[in-house]
Amino acid sequence: MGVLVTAQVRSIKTTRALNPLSPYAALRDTRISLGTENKLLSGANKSLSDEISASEKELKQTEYSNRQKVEKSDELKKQIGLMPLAGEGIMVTLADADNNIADSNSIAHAADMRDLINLLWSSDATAISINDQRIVATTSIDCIVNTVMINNVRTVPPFDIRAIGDRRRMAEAVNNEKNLPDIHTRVKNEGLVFQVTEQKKVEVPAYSGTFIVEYAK
Amino acid sequence: MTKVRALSLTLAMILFAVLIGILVGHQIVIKKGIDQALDPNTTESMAIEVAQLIKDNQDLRKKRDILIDERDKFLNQSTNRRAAVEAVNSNIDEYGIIAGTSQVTGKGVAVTISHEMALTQIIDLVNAIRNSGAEALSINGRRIVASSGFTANDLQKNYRLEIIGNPRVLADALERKGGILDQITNGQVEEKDGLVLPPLGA
Repeated sequence: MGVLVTAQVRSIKTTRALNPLSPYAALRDTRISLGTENKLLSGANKSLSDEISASEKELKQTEYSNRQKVEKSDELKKQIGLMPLAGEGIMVTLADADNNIADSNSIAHAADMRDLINLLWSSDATAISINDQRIVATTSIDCIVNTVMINNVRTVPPFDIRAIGDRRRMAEAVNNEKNLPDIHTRVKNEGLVFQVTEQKKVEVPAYSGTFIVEYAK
Repeated sequence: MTKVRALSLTLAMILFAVLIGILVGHQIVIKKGIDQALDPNTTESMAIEVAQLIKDNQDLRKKRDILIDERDKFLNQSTNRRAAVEAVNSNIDEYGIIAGTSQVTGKGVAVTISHEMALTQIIDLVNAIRNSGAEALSINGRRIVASSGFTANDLQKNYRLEIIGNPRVLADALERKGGILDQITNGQVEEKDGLVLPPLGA
């Protein structure tokens, strides 16, 4: 009882600011306010894009040449990830091993996903997403301490990777130990979760971020 | 009288147990909060996330302005159809750059690496270049887009990467101490005007 009361009194008496507390609190508050602004801006941009899409449909109804232009624009939008896609493909679940003691080899890393995504593109995938984040030309997959940042969005395991394309070819490629030696070794030795299923229909969402082209002409 | 004393004793013990429970609980909450605040990983992770959010919000604001301008062109299409068609043409140009279907020019950086890299090093290097805000990229004259995959066949002794984007930002990101070139390989970075990148399959 005495120990507890002393601990309580000591924590109350600590009135001087602990240096690391201040940046932590400031960062936490900044993250909350930036996150709110991010959602508002994303929502506003989505509404504007929807308005523009509706106007493009209207333009399509005018001259033949205009229809061709809008169709070309739509085709390019599909290619770069601005439209959701569905088709045959595979789903891969990558997650930390279900062990009590986690170590570097038993957890899913950003580098694992970079290797996997590279292999899927090499196997002619036409669209890929990780935890609903579409992989596009500007996507980087980075480890931020114990989370993974994809398209500037923080995400955590289990990672649900979806790829559209020839499902048999992609499944064979990712199940081949020679193609992903590090992952397959850790699956065997450490219990890393890596499950691959072929699907007749996989849905991949549209990219919800922003492309900014300022320097390329 | 004995019953009253026993009841009082029981009540006192219950009160005592509740008090201990509250104190222990409070200590755990305080300790957890302090541990979290003092954990350098938590603060570092949050700092990186905040930096990414600042950049993301800047891009979103830029994009919002572009979209407002484009929306306004479409709104007036009944009176000024040409403006609406121009907006579609402008989108086709931009999407073509991102898809890699057209040749692209602009300023940026050229990176030369004069030794063979492992496949994982190429993958990590391209990932870091994308993270640095690259708008277009080619490796040894091959245009790299979202769906470009690398295999063992792409490994060679010399690499020249041409990257279009903000030259200063790209050079700083690539060359900084502990940056990607430091981590995986040595390379020379040179800021360039007038880079010309070929379209896919050229």
